[in-house]
Amino acid sequence: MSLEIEIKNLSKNYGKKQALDHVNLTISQGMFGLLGRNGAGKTTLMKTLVTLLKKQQGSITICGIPVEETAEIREIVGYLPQDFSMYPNMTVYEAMDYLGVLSGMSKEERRKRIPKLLKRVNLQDDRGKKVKALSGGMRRRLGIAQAILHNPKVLIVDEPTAGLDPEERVRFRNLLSEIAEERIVILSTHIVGDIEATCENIAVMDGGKILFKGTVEDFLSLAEGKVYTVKVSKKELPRLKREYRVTGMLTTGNNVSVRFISDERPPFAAEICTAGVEDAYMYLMGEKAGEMDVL
Amino acid sequence: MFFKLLQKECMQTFKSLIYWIYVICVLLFFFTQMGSPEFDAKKPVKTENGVYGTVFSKDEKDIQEVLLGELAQDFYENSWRTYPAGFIKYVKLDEKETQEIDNILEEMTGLTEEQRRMSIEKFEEEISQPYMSPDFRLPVKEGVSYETFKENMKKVCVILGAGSSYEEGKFSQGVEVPADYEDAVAEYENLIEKDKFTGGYARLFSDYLGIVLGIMPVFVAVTRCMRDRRAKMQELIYVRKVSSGTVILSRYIAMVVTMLLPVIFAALYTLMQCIGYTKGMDIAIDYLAFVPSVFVWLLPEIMVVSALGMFLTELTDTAIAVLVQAVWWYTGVFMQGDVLTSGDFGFHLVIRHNSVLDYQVFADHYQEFIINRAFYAGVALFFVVLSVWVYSMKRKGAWDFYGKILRGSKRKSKA
Amino acid sequence: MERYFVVAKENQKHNLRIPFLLCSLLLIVSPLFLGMENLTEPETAKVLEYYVALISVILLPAVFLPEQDKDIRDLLSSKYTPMAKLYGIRIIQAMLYLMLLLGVYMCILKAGNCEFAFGKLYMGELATMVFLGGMGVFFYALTDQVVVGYMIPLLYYMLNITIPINRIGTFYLFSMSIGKYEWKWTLGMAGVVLLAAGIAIRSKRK
Repeated sequence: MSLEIEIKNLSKNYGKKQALDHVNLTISQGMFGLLGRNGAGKTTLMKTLVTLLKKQQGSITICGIPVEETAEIREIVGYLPQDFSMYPNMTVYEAMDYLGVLSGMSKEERRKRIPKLLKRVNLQDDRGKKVKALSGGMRRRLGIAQAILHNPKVLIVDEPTAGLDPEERVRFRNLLSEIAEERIVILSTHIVGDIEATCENIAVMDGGKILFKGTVEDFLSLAEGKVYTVKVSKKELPRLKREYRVTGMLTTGNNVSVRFISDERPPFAAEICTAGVEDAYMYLMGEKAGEMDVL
Repeated sequence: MFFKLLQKECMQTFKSLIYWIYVICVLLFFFTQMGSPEFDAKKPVKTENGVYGTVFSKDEKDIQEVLLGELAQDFYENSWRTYPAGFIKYVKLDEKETQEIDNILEEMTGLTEEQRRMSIEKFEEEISQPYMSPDFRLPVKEGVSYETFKENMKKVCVILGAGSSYEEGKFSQGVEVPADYEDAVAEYENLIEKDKFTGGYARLFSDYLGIVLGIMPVFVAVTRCMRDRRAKMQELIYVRKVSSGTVILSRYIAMVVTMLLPVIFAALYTLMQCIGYTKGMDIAIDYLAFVPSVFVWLLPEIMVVSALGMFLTELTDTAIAVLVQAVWWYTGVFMQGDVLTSGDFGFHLVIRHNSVLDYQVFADHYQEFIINRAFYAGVALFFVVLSVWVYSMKRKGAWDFYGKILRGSKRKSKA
Repeated sequence: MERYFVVAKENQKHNLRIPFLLCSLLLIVSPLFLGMENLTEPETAKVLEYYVALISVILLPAVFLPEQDKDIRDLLSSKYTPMAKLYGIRIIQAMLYLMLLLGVYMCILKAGNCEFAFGKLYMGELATMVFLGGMGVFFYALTDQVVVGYMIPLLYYMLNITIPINRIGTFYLFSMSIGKYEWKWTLGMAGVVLLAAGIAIRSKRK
């Protein structure tokens, strides 16, 4: 059995709204980032992968198993939804134990694996704490622990870093990277920094379509040589904003240092600089917005 | 996996607030209703003018005379009451309908309106104890058959609409007539010999608990099923390997078993009281009398109420089951007329037999009783199967129209 | 002032509509099994106390339903309008609906040639509704479970049917049916206390 997810021609619509539009993707071992704005279709795609939604067209196989075989898929896939919690009056250990039973794990397995996982997500001292008493970050970590409880080959996490403080976010990313060493981890996010720090391969979605798929380097090269910075006075800023796609601003006194994207070298003295994922993302989205204007 | 899960579900139920409120409700109802019943295992004593309560008579003569007396009285007072759902409903008759009833009365009794009026007035003058008096009765005219009587009562029912006392379904169960000493002794002997004392109390016990169990389990079921979504744990559970049947069945069985516990406790309590009372008396009580009351009479009720609650909650993700069950219970409890020992079991969810006596009535309707309970046990299983199906559909997202419907879109209000 | 109308309007649109329709439906189907014509005063009182009063259990606890989700509650309590005021407006609104439904229903009874003193029964029935509904509101607030808000009033109703009246005293739900109109003062006042306590508890809940 290969460690690979194959999505072919996947489409799904809610009434007239096309949630997924002929999605084709191959995802192999490691961290895979799925980037896109809210409502781009990321959650729909992920829910379809974890059998929570039915696909309408196309095919999906996960490690060689077609997604229609829900029982087998559920055995090899772990899922952390965007918005989740657990029975508030259960303790951390009880909640894990309950979910372990639902995953069909034996008593022996649960007794061995749960403390190990709690340690891994740094919750070993909170195993007796009630779920309702956990902070947002702790709850997320518990979420990861439950998702890999049954040792799945594939882990799917939806917007896991939303609402975490910067320190927690970094820790969380590291944890995911560790987990990805022996698995496929699909991470959906609209926070560019998450992807930049962890993923080798990414896909960008919008309007249910895949706009880009490839490595992060390929992605960066999209915008390479097209990102500039310039120092302008505050007065000039509105004009610049009108003509170019601005990706960053830093005000110092009366001047603003502006980072922007342009296909051609601008007619004023601007400095070229290296593109980041954010720039590439904005560039890609801008191109698409341009198309929309024509339509 | 199933038994481990069942065990966990039971533990969860024990930790839930609603379950304990359910227990309090059941026990509060039990202690205020049944509490310490007035035990009586003494043989009736024969006295002059003794009153021995009433018995049901299925004698055709009794039925006809009592009903014709009642009809004549209603006609005399021109007051027509029906109980289509337990509540009184007054029916107004127009001239033609009044005339029709007059004709029926004359045909059946041979008495004119004037003659009937006189005899009613005479009867009312003679009443010494208004509450203990026997019913006013009118004898049937010579040569009128029981068939003709039934035909005529049917006509009366057409005029009055549903829920009158002239319905054949009602009077064929017998009419209440004063019991004589022999009847009273027979009742007593039935209680001691056939019911072995505890049997009668077990029936009274089931009668009372049946009322509260016709509604309370739905609250536990609804809360359990809404809990996953409320705790935002639904998706975490959906993607587990476990089969939908295992999830639903373990929850259902855990609910039913835990909800049965206070019932068993109350039954043991009453049994202890019976044992205490009969101590030193020459009565051989049946120690197992409460087993059928708990497991045949009350268990199917808990089963069907919680199964329906579970099904509706899984289907709609709302608490609509509470309303549905409340309506069913309300109409069910109030629709059974005022005689609660008539053996009219039919398909009532809440079976009434509000007496430690009347063994014979119960025995006569035993088959009806068993059919009723078996039916509800079957309905319960049907709803459990449906719930499994609904659950597995929801898990697969098969009903995820527009991403919202049937998941119960969360209404967010600015207000 | 205007803000409160906005609150009431939103509440009507999003939260009260379905309970209101349900209550109307329950009243509309009542002639199928209840007599609504030629009733005497105790009989009218019976219809009102045994049946119509139950709609308050549907309508009043519904005022807390929109904030069942804790996240929404957090969001709202951070807004300017205090929660207690918000709940107060909703309860007044629900009460107005109850008064309206009851008024219409009793007019229909009157038109059906039932004989009763309108004002007396109207106020008495309102007191019953405030009490039953208030009980629901109170226990819902106390436990944060809407189901308990339905459960306890129903249990109380059941006990009233089956327990001897002297054990309940002036808290008897069906006192008008037995001619004890003055008992309704107890119910009405206890109902207001329950409502107020319910709002207080609920607004403090974080």
